[in-house]
Amino acid sequence: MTVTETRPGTEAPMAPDPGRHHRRRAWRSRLTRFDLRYTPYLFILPFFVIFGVFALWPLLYTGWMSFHDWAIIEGDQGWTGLGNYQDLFADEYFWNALLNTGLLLVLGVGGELLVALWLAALLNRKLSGSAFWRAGIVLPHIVSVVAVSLVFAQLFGFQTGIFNDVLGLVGIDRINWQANRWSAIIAVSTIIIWRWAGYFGLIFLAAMQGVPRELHEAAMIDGASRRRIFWSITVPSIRPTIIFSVVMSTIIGMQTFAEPQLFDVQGTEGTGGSDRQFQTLMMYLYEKGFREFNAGYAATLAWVMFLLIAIVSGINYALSRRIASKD
Amino acid sequence: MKYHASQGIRVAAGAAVIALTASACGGGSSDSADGTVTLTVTTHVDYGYRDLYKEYEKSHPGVKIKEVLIEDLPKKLVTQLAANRGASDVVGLGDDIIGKFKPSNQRFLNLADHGVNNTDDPWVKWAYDYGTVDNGKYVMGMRTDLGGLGICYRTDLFKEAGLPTDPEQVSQLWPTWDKFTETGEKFRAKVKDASFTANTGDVWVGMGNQHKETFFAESDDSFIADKNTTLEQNFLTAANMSVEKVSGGYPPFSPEMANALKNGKAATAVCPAWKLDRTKEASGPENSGKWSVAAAPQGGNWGGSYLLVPKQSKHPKEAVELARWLTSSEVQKKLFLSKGYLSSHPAVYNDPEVQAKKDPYFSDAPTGKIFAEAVDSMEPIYRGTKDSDVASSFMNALLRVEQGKQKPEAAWDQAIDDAKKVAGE
Repeated sequence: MTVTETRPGTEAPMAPDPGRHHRRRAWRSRLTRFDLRYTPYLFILPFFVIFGVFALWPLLYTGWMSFHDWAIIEGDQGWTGLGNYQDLFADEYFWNALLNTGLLLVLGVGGELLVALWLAALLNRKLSGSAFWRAGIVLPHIVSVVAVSLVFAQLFGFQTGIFNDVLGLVGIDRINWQANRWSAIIAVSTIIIWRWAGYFGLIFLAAMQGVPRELHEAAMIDGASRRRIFWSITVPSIRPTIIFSVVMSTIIGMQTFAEPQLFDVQGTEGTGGSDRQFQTLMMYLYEKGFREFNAGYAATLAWVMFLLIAIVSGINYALSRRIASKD
Repeated sequence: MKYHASQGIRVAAGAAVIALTASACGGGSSDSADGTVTLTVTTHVDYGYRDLYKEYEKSHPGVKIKEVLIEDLPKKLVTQLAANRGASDVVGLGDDIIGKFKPSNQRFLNLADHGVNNTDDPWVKWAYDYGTVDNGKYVMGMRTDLGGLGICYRTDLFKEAGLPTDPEQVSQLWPTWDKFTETGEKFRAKVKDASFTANTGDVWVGMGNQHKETFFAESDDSFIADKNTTLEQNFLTAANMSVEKVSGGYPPFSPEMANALKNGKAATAVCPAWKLDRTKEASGPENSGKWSVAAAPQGGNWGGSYLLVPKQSKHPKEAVELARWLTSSEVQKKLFLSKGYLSSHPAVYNDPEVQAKKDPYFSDAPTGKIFAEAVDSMEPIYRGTKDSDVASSFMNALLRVEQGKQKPEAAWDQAIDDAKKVAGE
């Protein structure tokens, strides 16, 4: 930061006492120096204070809790060291939840980004009433997740759900969506795609608008198909946006909670199906922390999730960099 | 550096003030300048108190009541208790979850210190006792309603199956749950497009409230479900209802079940008193008079709640007074007559006016009498502190049988394994 150390409004008064005048000047210049050097930090301080109070401190405190046997109301029940971590890694429900989270990440988050790309590509063409369509695709995202999940849980109902009625028309037996892992994961992925595709679609669209039309026109003159143009010009051009979206949606996807929890017929009392076939990590954390009041174990799970999210986001970041670059 | 630091503190203090103001909006009590006391009452379902609040405000000038409904109240309450702020002045907890809060009884007022006992205006003993800890010395909660246990049934479908439709005769069809299944088989032989009962989960919950001990031992709170043969028998009886297609497999409290009740796809549903209102709502006015209520096999109780006053309340005296009034026999009688919620005061459920209550929606069945009989002879039930944790292991097991994933015996074995894991055995 280089700023000249003169400020307006410091005209020297007609002072008879040069000594006093000198002292005042020294004081003022010190003040000015402080002002220039530290004021910028003060301006950004609120963020760090709030970040510290609401993010860093809870994060560290959660880590501290995870080394204890900790009851949610009564607090510390004794130091256990890495005991909770040992239990967690030997806990088959944890691995089950991890598998489900992974499956939802591939199907749900993968699906939502592909659909988002497709939506963005559609809306990037010349359409009449484009503002209407563009606003329309984010609508599912604005609707409360609870409402969306409850409606979908009804649509996917076994005996009275519309999806099963439609499948019946084409001669497929009714599917008990909640009963099996594959069907439940597909159903929950549908809800996730419904909620998020429009949101990321809009982000992609904004990026696509910035791609120079000349590139498209040149490719078209060269006889490239729409598909070819999309994959070879549009997608590589919005690479930074795709990377951002992949990382963001991974972070969100690893914490999937409301959609599968409310898809459970037992609601918030449920454990993600009769055999935990669609219980995610976040749901298991909720069960441990808020149904069994075992805060120590939930804190352990939270920390492991934090590390997992960091790792998976990193992998996805690397992957999406490679996929999108077509140099 | 000094200038910097003090400014930093000021900013931090500002942020903290914002945070405190924000969290203060979450609940709790407040006073206005004119000395009015505002009491917040938070319940996990609608207790039917709205009109009563108005009445109370009228008779107690200077008291304002704020009503809050949070379905996940227990989960909110734990954090409020842990943080020692934000909890309401009066909270309502179901009898299935209060046990989970008993180890933290010190976070709630001991109502015994505020003159609550079971001699003036007494509650039925087992229900009062369950709201206390420390051998009755620490009164945590005051009982609101009881569930009782009955069976709602569709008279039109019963007629179609050639079964009696009069509540008295219907009750005699099933002195035991095995007879209930038998009746179901007879029903299914005649009626093909409707199941006999909505689901097995509700049957199981109803059964679970008929025995002294279920999952945990009264003597030392140890896990005994694996040795409890009555429990296993009950489980198999319930699970076999789905094998025999007596149960329709409409999950408890699901929209599917509501649809089934509305469309006559299930001929019976397990009905505690508080469920009558829900059944009425689910099946709609077009089914008025098609439903009736009979006694459940072996009586029993399902549900009912307690009102508790967290210690952090700023107006403990006023809060206790309000809660005492809301759970009094006077108010409970009103609630039965208007909403059908079964009173926990013998003086009320034995009251001739209550016993004579009939509801045309339920074919004028003597509901007051049926539910009173179900609860009056009840023995106290012991529930472990981890009761609500392991309950879902068994609900899931029944669901697996209904989904055709497992045979009843295998489902039981897995339920025991799951429950042991949850209970940390």
